[in-house]
Amino acid sequence: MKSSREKILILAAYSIMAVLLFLVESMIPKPLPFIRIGLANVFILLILVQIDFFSALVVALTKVIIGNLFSGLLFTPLILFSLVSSVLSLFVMYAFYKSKISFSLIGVSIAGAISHLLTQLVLGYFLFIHTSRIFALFPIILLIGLISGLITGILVIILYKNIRLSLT
Amino acid sequence: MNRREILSHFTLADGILIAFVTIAIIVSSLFVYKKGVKSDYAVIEYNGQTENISLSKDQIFTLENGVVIEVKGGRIRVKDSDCPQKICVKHGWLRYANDVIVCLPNKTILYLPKKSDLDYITR
Repeated sequence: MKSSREKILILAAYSIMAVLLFLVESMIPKPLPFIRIGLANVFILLILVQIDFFSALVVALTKVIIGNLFSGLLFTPLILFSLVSSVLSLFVMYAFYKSKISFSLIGVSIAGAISHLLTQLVLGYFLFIHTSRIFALFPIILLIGLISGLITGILVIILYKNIRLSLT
Repeated sequence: MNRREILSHFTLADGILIAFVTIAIIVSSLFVYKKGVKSDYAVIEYNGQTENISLSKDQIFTLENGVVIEVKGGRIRVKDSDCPQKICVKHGWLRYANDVIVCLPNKTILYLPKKSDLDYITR
């Protein structure tokens, strides 16, 4: 059994790994800003499954704050997008993971990806765009969420067998 | 880890979720990308004035600021303009209500109005 100080250090190391994945992914050029696999999310989902919800929440928040600090978006209104959607999608993934209906990690990550993107769409509508034409993106966002959720889920299943994350 | 092993993780709930999302994609894209209603006249705004152009008569004319407008077969476009990037010319034909061409250098807006009881909605 490790001391709580050691647990915090391990959590910090996991957080930095998530930040690195986030930064690596944001370096890949992409046609639309919301087309991303969610590499950091693979790691966060793995923490959610192998450790607990609280650790996943800490890592997700650190990822958003430190990740956006490095990509220069901290203290801009855009941070709201990452912050709210990351936390909300984590709650959705937790609900899907704990639900009586037996979703596999693929279903969990699809739900997470779609809720992440939909939160950003709704936030974009209320905070910035104010025109219902933004919802023309709705089908595209569902499709991207489905595909990226599938990829993330498969990655998590592969990693689940080979990596053992724990605080103890 | 081979493909069969990954596939064995899929559950019925996953399948239902994926099917549900796919149906939502199809239904919402039918709803979002349906063809617009045609307009019978176009509105051109430039130099602070507004002009209504009928789309039923084919014609080519030049505005005071040198923007050439062409109407043909119920469609309208900017045929030529002296602006540097010619974004308005490259935009092509306007056909459906709510379509807009904007030429910023010439301060010209060309659009097909929506058939509606409301003229404008201000926010």
